This record gives sequence, structure tokens and C-alpha cells, in this order.
Amino acid sequence: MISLLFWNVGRLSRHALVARLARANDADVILLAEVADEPIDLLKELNKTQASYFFSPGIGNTKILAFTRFSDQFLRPCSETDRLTIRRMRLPGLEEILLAVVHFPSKLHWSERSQAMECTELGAEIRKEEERAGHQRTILVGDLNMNPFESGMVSAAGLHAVMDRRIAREGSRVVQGREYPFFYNPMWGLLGDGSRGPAGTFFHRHAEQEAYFWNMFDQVLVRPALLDRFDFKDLAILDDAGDERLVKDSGVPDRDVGSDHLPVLFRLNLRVAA
Amino acid sequence: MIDLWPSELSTVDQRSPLTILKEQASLLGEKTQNIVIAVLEDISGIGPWSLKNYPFKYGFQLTCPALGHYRFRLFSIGFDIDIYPVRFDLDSDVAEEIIGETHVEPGMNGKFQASNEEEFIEILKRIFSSRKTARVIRALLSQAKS
Repeated sequence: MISLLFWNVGRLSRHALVARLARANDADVILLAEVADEPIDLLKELNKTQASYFFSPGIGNTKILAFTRFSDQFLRPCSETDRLTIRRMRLPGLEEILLAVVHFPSKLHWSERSQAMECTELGAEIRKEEERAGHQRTILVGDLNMNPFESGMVSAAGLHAVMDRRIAREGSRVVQGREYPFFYNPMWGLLGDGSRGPAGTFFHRHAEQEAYFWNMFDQVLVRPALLDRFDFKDLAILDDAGDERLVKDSGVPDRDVGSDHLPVLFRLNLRVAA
Repeated sequence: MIDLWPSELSTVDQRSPLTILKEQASLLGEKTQNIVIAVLEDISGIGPWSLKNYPFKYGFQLTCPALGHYRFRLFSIGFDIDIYPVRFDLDSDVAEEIIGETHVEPGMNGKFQASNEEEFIEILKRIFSSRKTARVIRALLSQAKS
């Protein structure tokens, strides 16, 4: 199993906490957005007790940082913008996947409509890279700054991410003569306080008629080709880093300790069948 | 039959932004022995949100054949049938760098717009001379040669 951890660190220096989080969760791949720390400081902290992590730099994208417990040659970037890095994760003996990591424009600057339009671009970019790679074993992870139910997330020309893996298994859907592949969005299953763990990944209380309080901005989307390699029970929103709580007593993210976002951890079984 | 069309119809007195970009793309290849090349991608059907109102849209991508055709979109442009103004959608690092370095004022949301060919060329020059562009090209060259 490969463990992947994504965290929007909220422009705060958190290198020691990132290292504790990685160790506590046995993370093989660490993906960070809004990072205030230098990669070298993160690497030093990650390798403090044992030199096991490598920095896997982007080429054009320097805003999303990736650290791996394997050489960076196995996680090569293949397409990037300043907000997106698509990597080929090609580990010996394991199935190759495309790992797309995104930090989408914030609702502070972009309307929901703008985000939805931009999702068509993101969806198309991923499809292009899948065509190049010759497979659709793709994971999209990151701070999408949208909830799973928003238009950009669910629309066919956008990310086309559905809440039910049985629908996702159909592979694709034709709309107006055009075929769009599905993503499965397991984050639906973690929405609200009836789910295991926190009710979302980002909390925002504001004096407006429409307020969700909890938002699920940090998400993991899985293409149908990887559904058999992903188990919902291997997905979690983390509210602690071992002994250290990342949330206040009220359960909301504690920015004084961690970030205004909570980390997301998931595992994939990429073993090639004998 | 009477020809109602004016005789000067086929006279084109301005270069299209696409022509200028193609020339520049070709020059990059020459400078790097085609290790890093630039390609123009027609993104008319999609394209960034900031260019949504423009019927003609192109992405300017740096790519490296030796690195599995790694692609990095440096900027995109959008323009109308009248060509100018041409709107740029820039990489945010590049935009940050060139604000203040060019007399062409960024529009809303820091987006750059060229009102004529001269301004278009000036913005291109700033983009190509930015530290971010140089860093990406050098990184690609160094990885391709290693």
C-alpha cells in the first residue's frame, strides 16, 4: 500500500508538524500547498531521525511541494501550470498512475461560476495527459476550493466527480455527443458530523444568509480504473498528528497549532497482479 | 458578372499575434538546439476563465521532448476578430515579476492586455526575460542533459 498525504499548510511555517504528521501516518508521499517553509527545512525535519524522504521538485510549478519515500525519478512531472502539477508515479513492481495535484483559485477572489469554468480547463488538461500516458489510472488530489456538490466538481465538462462508485464504474457518460470520463469522489462520504472524523476540511463562519460552516475543499478524486485499488476505509481527514491535536475543542481546525485546513490521507494498493 | 468586392481585400497590414508567437517559438528551439521547444496550443474550446469572452485562444507551452514531452504553460492569449486588444493570462510568478517593469498596465485581476502590436511585443519580451521563464528553461535543459 502507498500512503499519500495532502495538506494545505495555510502559509504557516509548519515543517516540524509536517514531519510528525508524516511519521504518525506512515506517509510515503507528502503533498503540500501554501507552504511557507523552504523545501530544505522540510526535508531536514522529515529526515531528522532517519533519512527516508526525498524532495521531488516540480519544474514550472514551485507552489505545490512533493516529498517521497522513494527517489524523485519515480514521480516525474509531466504537465504543469502555476496551480497544477501532474506527475507520473512509476514505481518498480507497481502499477503506474498519474497523480494530479492542484491548488485551485480561492473563493476570496473567484466566484463559483468562474471556478466551474476553470474546472473545464482542469478536466481537459487531465484528459490530455491521460491520452499521452495511454491510461486513465489517475488520482486528482488537492485544495479545490470547492465543495463536492458544486457545479465545477460534478458537471460532465468539469471534473465529473460523482458520489457513487457504482456510477463511476460505468466509466464515462455521453453528453451532447461528447464523452466525459467519471471521477469517483469519496469525499461525499466524509461530509457532515455523521461521518467518521471531522465534518469537513475547512471551517468558515461568516455573517451571510448562506453559510455551510464546514467545507470539503480538500479532496481526493479517483478515476474508475483505480477503483479496485482504493478502499473508502483508507481515506481520512486527519485531526491530529499523533499526540498533537490539529483542532480546537469545538472540532474546528486550530490555526495556532496547524492550519485552517485539515490534512487528508489516503492509501492505494498499486501492486501488479501476479 | 460585376465584382462587388473591394480590390484591397487581400492586403494584410498587420501580423497576427499567432504569427509572432510562432516566430518566437521557433527562435527558442534554435537557442536550445531543440532541447526545449515552445508549442502553441489551440485552446479555443476551453481556456482559462479570464479569456472566456475571446473566440481565439492559444496557450504558449514550453516543452521538452527528452523529458517525456513535459509541458509547462507559460501563458495564454485571447483575442477577438479585430485582433487587438490581446488579453494575456500569465503564470502568476511571471505576472508578479513583470508588473511595474512594463509600461503596459495590467487590467483587472492583474491581467495584461496589449492594445497594439508594439505592446504585445513588449509584454512578450518581459515574459521571456522573466526569472521564472529562465528558471524553467534552465531546469529543463539541465534535466534533459543529465
